[in-house]
Amino acid sequence: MDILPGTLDLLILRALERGTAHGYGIALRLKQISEDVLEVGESSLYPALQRLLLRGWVSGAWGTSENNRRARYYTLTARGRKQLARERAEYERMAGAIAKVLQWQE
Amino acid sequence: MIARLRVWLHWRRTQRELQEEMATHRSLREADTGPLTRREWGNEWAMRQDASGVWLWPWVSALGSGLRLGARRLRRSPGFTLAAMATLALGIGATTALFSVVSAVMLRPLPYPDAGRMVEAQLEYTSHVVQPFVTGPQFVYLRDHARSLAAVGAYRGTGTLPLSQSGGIDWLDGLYVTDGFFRSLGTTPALGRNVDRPRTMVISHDVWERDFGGSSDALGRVVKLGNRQITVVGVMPAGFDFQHRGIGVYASLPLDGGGLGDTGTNTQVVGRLRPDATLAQASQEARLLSQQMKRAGLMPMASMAAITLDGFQAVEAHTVSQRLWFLFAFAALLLLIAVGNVAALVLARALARREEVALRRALGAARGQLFTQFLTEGIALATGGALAGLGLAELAIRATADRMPAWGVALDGRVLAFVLGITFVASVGFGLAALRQSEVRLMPGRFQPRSKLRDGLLVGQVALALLLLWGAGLLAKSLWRLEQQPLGFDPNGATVMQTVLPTQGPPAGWQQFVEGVTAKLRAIPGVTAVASMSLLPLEGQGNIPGEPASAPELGRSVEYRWATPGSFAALGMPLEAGRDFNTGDTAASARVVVVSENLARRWFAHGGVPAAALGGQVRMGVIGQKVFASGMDGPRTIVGVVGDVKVETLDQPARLTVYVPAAQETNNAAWWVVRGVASGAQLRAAVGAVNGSARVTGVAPYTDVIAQSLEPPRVAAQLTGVFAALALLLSAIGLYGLLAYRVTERTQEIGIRMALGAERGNIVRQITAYGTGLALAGIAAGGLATLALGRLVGSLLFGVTSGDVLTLASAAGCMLAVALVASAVPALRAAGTDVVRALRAP
Repeated sequence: MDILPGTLDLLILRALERGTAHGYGIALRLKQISEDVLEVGESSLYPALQRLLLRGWVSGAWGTSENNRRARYYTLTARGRKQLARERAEYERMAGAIAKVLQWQE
Repeated sequence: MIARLRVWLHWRRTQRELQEEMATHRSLREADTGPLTRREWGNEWAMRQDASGVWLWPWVSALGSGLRLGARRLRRSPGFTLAAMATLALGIGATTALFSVVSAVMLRPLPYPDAGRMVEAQLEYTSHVVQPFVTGPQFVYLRDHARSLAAVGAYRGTGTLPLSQSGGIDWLDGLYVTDGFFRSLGTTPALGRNVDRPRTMVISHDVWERDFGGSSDALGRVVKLGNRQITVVGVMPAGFDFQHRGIGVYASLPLDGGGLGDTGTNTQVVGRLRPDATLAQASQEARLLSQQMKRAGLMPMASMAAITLDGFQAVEAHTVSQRLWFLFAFAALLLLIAVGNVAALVLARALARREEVALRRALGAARGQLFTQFLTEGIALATGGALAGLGLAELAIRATADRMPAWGVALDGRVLAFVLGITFVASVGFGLAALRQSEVRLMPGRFQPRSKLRDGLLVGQVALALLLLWGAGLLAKSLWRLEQQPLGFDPNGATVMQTVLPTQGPPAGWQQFVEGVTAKLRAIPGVTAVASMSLLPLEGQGNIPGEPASAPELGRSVEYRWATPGSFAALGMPLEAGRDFNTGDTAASARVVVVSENLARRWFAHGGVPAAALGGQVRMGVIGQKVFASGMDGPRTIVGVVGDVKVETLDQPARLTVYVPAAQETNNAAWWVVRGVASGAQLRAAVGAVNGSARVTGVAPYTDVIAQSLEPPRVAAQLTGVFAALALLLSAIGLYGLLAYRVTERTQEIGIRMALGAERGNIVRQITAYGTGLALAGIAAGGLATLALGRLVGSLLFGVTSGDVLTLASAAGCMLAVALVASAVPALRAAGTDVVRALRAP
């Protein structure tokens, strides 16, 4: 299933809350946690990661991957943590509101 | 921002890192799920672009790719690019060169603090003529009563004066100034003090270094300037040169306590507004003071209406401004035509690219993206043209530098801003035009509708070219009329020169000098006549108040000359009545004058013959430092009447002139005219033999002097002529290009028509008629515009009016003829179409 528009940043930040990960690791983590529902394509993952880098919400450091290749490991920054809290609260408010509308019965 | 910059600076590294990161990603994913197909993985390059594109503002990346594409396209069609850039360079070069003159003369702030608050006094006459010269007493009254001025000073040219020291003589141009002069300019001497009492002077930095060795003990030194002992009290800052006149000394006025009393209009006045006063208030006050001056008898001539105050720069620039603006307008029109030509080229290319553009739109290119591409092509074209144009302008400025006064014409910041503005407007214009044209809907079939935009452009170009032809024609005709003007004297075979004596000695010494030099010059073999006057015709004006003794109300400003016996004959001026001066006219004899024919008619003849003036009497204003209570000298009797001559320029009517015998005047400067064969060296030797320290300047054939006085209108006529020729050429190229393009476009149609039996003549007629029709529309539009512009050019014309039908008709005929040829060539080529080949063409 594709990711709900506008929520990719939130999901990446949330995935990184559990610890540092490289690009593939993030995609894998999201897939596993969502029990194979959320699949992040590379074509949206990498632009999103660059955007987060640009805004300073994550930082990148080069390390070695499981198969001994160079990979960039992303870490949540303090500002990223704050942003995550903000986006999360916003999303929950929105989700709650949508749920209310959907559950409303005449 | 800083993060962005860092990424931009390391763009390649960013790309490399992304590539590596994604490769790792792929390998990890493949380890989990097995090898990926191309389709499963997707377009990695595009992904990388998207990811790295995050760092760019969207327009930056669009502009970047647009620029690359635009440059590539221009490189691929060098012919188009060169033609377009050369055309633009021509227009931009001409406009820029003239704009830099406009900028230097009219727009550059004067080098004085708060120059906008400087004013200059002008004397307005009842004839509405306004001249920046007032009389000494008028200045004094203004200085003592004008409350809206914080400072006011008078200045007066000294002519060339010798500065004598033990080391020798240095001839310097100087100004007599009052202490208010420097305060009005807001400039003070860098060393020492302002002129503050009689017989003091401030010297320029140059003179200080040249004649005083740049030493500080120059201050307080007493030197001989002309025939006066004067104390140096100050040195101006380096680079200070009032009005670029090359002034070396600023000597105190009044001289010896007098000098501001004479009634000649020989004094210029510069002032500075009080901080709380406006120019309008000051001008109002000056008019009020003028009324008081009139009552106090300070307007020596009835024709003097009022003294006005105007902005200093406005007065200074006025003399050159009109002709300059006219030329600038010409260049600007030429630029418009050039831009029109390039726009037509761009449109033609855009039209040819419709299919490509339609394809790209269909594939999802945004309109903005296409515009960016066209815009960048426009920018590249305009920038290239502007750079080449700047080069041309620089060349033109350098080539003419020695013919222009020291205005400091250069490509300064304002000029660059001007060029940048043109470039910007042209770029956007080209881009928009191309975009619009390229989006013309693709019609089924091959025959395209005619482009109204291109037709319109062409009509506009022809109209502008006609305007330029018309303007150039008017100026050429003016010049021709000027050259036909009767001078009133014969300059052919005559040589002129000026002599100046270092000091103004007693009258007797002056007479000896004049007589001695006359004799020496006459003794040169080959010399047939010699004459001396205070000023020769076309060498300048020297006017003072004058009036008939019996009818002072007729008084006005008259030209005043002294002349040696035989002068009129030597100059070829006809003696209309009475006699020439002779040796019997001496300082001791009766005071006599010879007057010009127009004066005799105006003041004495009243419609009769000029001889009626003989025996009449005139009074003139006081010259030099003699001060008379009435401001007018005693009466002089008219003994002769001579023909009128041009005084300063050929376009002005001859002025009323009064000649007095040289023997009844004293001076230290004289003009000489020598008729016959004599070299400059011989002339100099003759003067040197009489007085070794006399300075000889301006030795030249008299015909050169005439040519020089025709120089400004000639330059204007030549420049406009060149511009008009270029305009004609450009519009012919435009017309030819348009028709040739349409013929190529319709080759097949023409082939079919000819196969069906159309006559060649018909084809030629049709195409020629199309081109000529466009030209006629342009000529009509241009003709209408001449009606509106007539008033603007009127003041530059001489002997021809802006409504001159012949000039307009010639311009229109010329334009039409060129249009006919430009359309006939492609038409004939169309008629020569090979039917078989045209039909087989894809």
